[in-house]
Amino acid sequence: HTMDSGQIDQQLAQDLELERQKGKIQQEIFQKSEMCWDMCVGSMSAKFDGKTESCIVNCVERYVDTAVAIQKRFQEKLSMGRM
Amino acid sequence: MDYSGGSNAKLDPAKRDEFMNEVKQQLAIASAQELLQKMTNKCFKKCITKPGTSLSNSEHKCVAMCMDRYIDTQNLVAQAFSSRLQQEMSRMQ
Repeated sequence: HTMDSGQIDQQLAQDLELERQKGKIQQEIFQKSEMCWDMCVGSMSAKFDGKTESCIVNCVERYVDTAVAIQKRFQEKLSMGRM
Repeated sequence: MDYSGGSNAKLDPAKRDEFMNEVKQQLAIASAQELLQKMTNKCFKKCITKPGTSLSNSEHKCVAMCMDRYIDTQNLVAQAFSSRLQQEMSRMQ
């Protein structure tokens, strides 16, 4: 079976796209882990205490809130012709 | 990115699987390398405050704990992020 230069195996295209998406999410997790580590983790211990754990979870949640708020406000500015 | 083209092109499934396994493996290796790099940076900062002529026992212990804590952090973040993602996606529907 020969393949023309313009033709791509559909299944392969799907598989590659899936890996690409997974990679994107992995990058997001890496980035947030770094950020929230810096914000929340103090001295080293054998286990995180409740305060540190909730700080990390809050960190992620507030980051997403920030992204949502910025997107919303940006849309508003666009529709008002202010940007 | 649009990989789509003619729908008649079909790779031999075994070749496709082999290729995808190779891709996944490469991605996993790159991902692990990135994780190790980040861990090294963070744990060096946390544990080696005054560089001596070698790593002390306490510094080794600290690094070991730090690695575990960093993995814990990633797991917490992955969990919080994925449940929040699902929440946002269902809100958009």
